[in-house]
Amino acid sequence: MSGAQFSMSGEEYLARHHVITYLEDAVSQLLEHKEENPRVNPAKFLSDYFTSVHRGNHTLFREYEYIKATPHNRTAFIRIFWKCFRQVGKSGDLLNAKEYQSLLCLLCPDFPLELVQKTARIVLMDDAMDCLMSFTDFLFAFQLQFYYDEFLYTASEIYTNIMSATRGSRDAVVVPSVSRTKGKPPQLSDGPDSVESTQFFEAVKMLCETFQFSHPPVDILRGILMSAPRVSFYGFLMALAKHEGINSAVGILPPKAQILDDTDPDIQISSARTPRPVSAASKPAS
Amino acid sequence: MAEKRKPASADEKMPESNRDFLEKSAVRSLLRGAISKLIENRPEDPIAFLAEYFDSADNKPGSNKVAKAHQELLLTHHSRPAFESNMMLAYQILSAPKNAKSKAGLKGDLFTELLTKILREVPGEVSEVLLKKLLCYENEVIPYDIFHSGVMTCFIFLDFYAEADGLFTVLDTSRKKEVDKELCDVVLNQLNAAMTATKDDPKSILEGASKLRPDALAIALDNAFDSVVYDESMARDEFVMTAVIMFIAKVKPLR
Repeated sequence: MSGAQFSMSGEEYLARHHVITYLEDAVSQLLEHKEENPRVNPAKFLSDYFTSVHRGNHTLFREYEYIKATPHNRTAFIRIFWKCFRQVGKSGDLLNAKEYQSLLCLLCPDFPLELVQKTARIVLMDDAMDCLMSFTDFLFAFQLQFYYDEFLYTASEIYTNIMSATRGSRDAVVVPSVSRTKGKPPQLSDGPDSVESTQFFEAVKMLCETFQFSHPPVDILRGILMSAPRVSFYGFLMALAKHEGINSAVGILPPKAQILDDTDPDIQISSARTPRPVSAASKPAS
Repeated sequence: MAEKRKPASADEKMPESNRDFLEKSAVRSLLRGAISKLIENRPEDPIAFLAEYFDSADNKPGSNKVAKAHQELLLTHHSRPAFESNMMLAYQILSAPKNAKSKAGLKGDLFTELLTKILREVPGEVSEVLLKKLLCYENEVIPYDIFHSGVMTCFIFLDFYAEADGLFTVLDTSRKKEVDKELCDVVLNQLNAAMTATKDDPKSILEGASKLRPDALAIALDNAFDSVVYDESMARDEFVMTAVIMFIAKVKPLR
C-alpha cells in the first residue's frame, strides 16, 4: 500500500491526485476573495478551502469547468445533486431534460444543456427527447454520463468506426487510439444499429488499457457485452447505467434501492446550507 | 514550481497588487512548503493532508507542542526515509524554549506525554509495560538518540501489536473468539525464537525471518496438531498480551 506512491516521480504523484489543479484554484479563489476582504488570512483560507474539498462540498455554485476538472469534483457534484433534489424523486415527479437542466443550473449556473441531453438519450434510448424521466433513472444515467464523459465519447467513436467498417469495406481495421476524429459525436439514429459484441468489447478493452481518464471496470464491461451476441450503443449505455457495479465503482451514491431513503441524517435539504464552500463566498448563486 | 501561475486575466487587471499580496502574505512560501512536504511524504489522501497542513500553519506556534510533534511523526510511515527528517523536526518542536527566559531542551515530562500519545490506540495495561521501560525522569533532559530510539520503539511496537492481533484472527478459524492453547503456544514459541536476531550476527536476522515463513509455521502447527488435547483455549487478549510481553522483553531498559 505504502509502496505505490513512492515508485512514481513527484510530478506523477501530484498529477495523479490533481494537487496542482486544486492549488491553482485555491490561489485564484484566494485572490478573488481578497478583493472584497483585504484582511483575509491566507493560511486560514487555504485550510478552509482544502477542508471543503476533502468533505466534497466544494463544488456547490462553482463554474462547470471546475466541477468537471477532477473525478473527485465530479463525484462531489453528483452527490450534491442527489442530496438537493431527492425530494423530486420521493414525490414521484417526472421531469423532462430541460427541467432537469434547470435543476442542475441551480447548483452550477453554467451547466450545459448538451450533457443533460446526452443523459436523456441514455434513459430514453436515443429517441423521444421530450419524454419525462423519473429522478432515479435520470440520476444513474447522469452519473454514468457525467463521470465517464470522455470514455463514453471515445467509446461511441469506436462504435461508429466498427459500424462503418462492417458496413463498408470488409477489412477496415479499427484502431481505437487513432480514431480521434474531431467533430460532433456520431449520430446513431439511422438504421438498425448494432455491432458484434465481442468485436466492440475487444476494442473497448484496448481503450481502457491506455485511457488517461476514468473508465468503468473492464469486468463489468465484459459482463455486459458478453451477455448478447450483438449490442447497440444505447443498449450498452442503458445496461451500464443500470449496473449496480458501476454505481459502486463511482462510489458516491448509495445502492439504487436506498436512493430515496431518508436514513442518512445529513441528507436533508439543510445539507445544502452546511458549511458553505469558501469558494462560493464571493459568488452569489444567481 | 511552487509559486502559482495566476490566470492571465487576473494578472492583467492588477498585476502589482496580486503579486504583492502573495509576496507579502507569504502565500508563496506556504505553498512551496506544502508541495515539498507532499512530495516528501506522499500521503494517500493529499487533500486531507493539505487541509491539515494549512490549518497547522494557521495556528500560532506554541499552542500545543506535543500535538504538533505527534502530527509531524504521523506524516509518513516509519520505514520511509522522510521519517528521519520528520523525527528531527518533532524533536525541534518539542525542545523549543517555552518563552524567552526558559532554556531550550526537551524534558522527560513532554517526552512521556508524546510517547503516551503515540501509544494511545493500544490498551492501557499493554502500553504501560512498554512505557515503564522507555520513560525518563520528569526533569531529565532527553538527548536526541534517546528520543529517537524511544519514538522508534513505540512505532515498531504499534506495528507489532497490529500484527499479533492479526495473527490471532488468522488462527481463530472457527470464529469462536478463542483458539486452542496448544496452537497458540506453538505460534508464540516460533515468534519468540524468531526474535533472537542480534546485531553481531547478521545471519540470525535471516534465520529469524525463515522461522516465520508460512511453511515453517505450517510444519510447526502440523506437529502440534497431533498432540492437541482440546481442553484449554486462549482468548485474544491473552494471546496478544503474551506476544507483546515477548516484544517488550527484547526492549533494552533505559537504566
